[in-house]
Amino acid sequence: MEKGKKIHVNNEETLFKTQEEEEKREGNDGPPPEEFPDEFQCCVCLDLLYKPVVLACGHMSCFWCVYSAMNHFHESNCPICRCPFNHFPSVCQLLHFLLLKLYPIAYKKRERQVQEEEKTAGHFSPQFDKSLFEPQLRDTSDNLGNNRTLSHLQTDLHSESCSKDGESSSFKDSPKPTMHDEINLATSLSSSEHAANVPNQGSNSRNDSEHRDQKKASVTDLLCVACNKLLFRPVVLNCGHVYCESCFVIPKDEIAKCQVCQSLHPNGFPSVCLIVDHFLEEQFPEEYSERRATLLKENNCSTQAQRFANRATAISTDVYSSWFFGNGPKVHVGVGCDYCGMSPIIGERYKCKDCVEKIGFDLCESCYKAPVQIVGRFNQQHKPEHEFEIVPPLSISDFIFRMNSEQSDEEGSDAAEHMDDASQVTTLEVGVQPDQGDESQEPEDISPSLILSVDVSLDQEDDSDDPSDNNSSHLT
Amino acid sequence: MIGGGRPSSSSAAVTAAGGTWVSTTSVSASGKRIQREMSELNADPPLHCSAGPKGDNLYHWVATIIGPPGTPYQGGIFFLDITFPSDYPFKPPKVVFKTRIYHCNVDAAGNLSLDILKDSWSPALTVSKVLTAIRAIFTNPDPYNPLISGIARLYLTEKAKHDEIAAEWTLRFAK
Repeated sequence: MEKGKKIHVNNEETLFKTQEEEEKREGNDGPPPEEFPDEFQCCVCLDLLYKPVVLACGHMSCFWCVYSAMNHFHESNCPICRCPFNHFPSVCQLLHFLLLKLYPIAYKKRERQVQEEEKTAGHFSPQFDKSLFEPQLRDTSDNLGNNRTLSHLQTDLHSESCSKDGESSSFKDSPKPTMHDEINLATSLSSSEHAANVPNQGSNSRNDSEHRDQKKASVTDLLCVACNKLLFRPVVLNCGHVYCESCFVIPKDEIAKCQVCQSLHPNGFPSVCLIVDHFLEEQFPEEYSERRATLLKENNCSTQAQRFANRATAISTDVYSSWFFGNGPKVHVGVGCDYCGMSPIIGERYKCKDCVEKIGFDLCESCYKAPVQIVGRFNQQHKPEHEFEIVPPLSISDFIFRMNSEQSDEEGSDAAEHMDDASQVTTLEVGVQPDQGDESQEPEDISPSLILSVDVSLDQEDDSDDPSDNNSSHLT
Repeated sequence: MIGGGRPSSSSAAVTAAGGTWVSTTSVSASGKRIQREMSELNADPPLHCSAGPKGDNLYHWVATIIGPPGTPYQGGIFFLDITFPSDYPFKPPKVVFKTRIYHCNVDAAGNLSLDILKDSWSPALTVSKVLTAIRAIFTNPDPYNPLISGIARLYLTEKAKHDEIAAEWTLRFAK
């Protein structure tokens, strides 16, 4: 609790010192920091990946790092390869439990840090627990299961935060979820002949991982959810489930769907997660080459070609700008779907009227209509009986007004007074420029709407009339 | 969910603490990241560059770049000020030349036009990569996106004269 208060202090100097103290204290109290290889370093926070999210391009980052790096006004770009994407993928639980197993001390330390931050912020990342997937829970009706898991989450979170004062005791006592649940889920849903024996192996590995010495990944930690064999050229879907590249097939003229959780994978065929691929090759050289040999025989050119044709795609930039000029679908800037992760939501936005969390609970049209069990990705206590309402998107004048207030807010709260006159663009420019900024990278993309955007922003400065009037006058 | 990485709707922005939730979280997160960069820079500094905090303040750094050989900036020591925003690394750091330099991408106030410090910023970039990029524009100025068009024109038309002036400035200000 003490630490939490210290972090609140806004003065950077004291912050600098408290952080140093904190580091020292943790260094003295706890076990020595664990070394983790560079490949599991998050490119954004430069720390060990925590709750890793794998983007459609195969690059990964922490849950909060991806969320904060996303542009919630138009499409986002991968921090590493700048590959555009529209959906905030779910946490890859396979990697989450793998990292927890490989680097338990460092991962638990990260967990405590992130929980402190989350408490300060009042926003929470999803909690994964083996009880979430326990068979008796799944066997009950959807409603009951959802309620129970959510209430469990709450108590779990509460108890974890309470035990924060007890420092190291919390992580010794806390349960150690393993890949057991993943496997359990996978096997129960896929009609595989391994279904009977694999869960046993899983529970064995869980017992093993109770000992800190057991830090080596086993093949059961890295199984494909479809073929139940060691992953080969792993791809991670939007829902966070991991498949072999060859096991994930997009049916013709259909949207890709995860076979495990039935959620749609909207980003086209995902790229291979090379970090995991290299890890597999390094850890299990024999099994991996065996898998390669068998798959090479089966593989034919047509599937390969189809894969390349469906290679990760993103919604075009035009969609985001066209909404402002009244000729495109609705774009809800700054709001994402809590199920598929589409951010900003394009089309109708369904907002939960009963969720009280600050982050809100919103769904896009397709997720609202899809008959799937909805679990909020920020640990919202959403219940199936909650009611939804359709919320209209912000109008352009509203949007610019909010950007203005944001800007002034930002100037006040900046840790470093970096607001120099010369390079600071005016708030109005910031308001309409996100699209422009993007298009400056791809000059061939310049559309007439770009020129329009400048006009509209100028008009907006003079009079804040109904934006549609302005648009029509310029469009004609 | 309400988006938060960039300026978002005011409901998410104004909290009881009186700031955006992003800045309240990331003041510590950005501090941690800057500290990590600092230790990585110490362990593995980029060629002919150095950087570190100015004083107690973790968010204000000073960096030096030594003019690369084979350019008119050869042998010059150029000082830069780096200021990190509170939501670093989601916003780029502000980099300003403190040493005067005759370069089409650097104006009289020391501001520089570098795409990765503006629209092309990515949170995966680090101070070390930024310094390497700045060092690269010493060798290859970008006269098509200039801050001072006069220098850019001279660079394109009479490179010898441009280099002569640049070398003279380096001698005068950077040694």
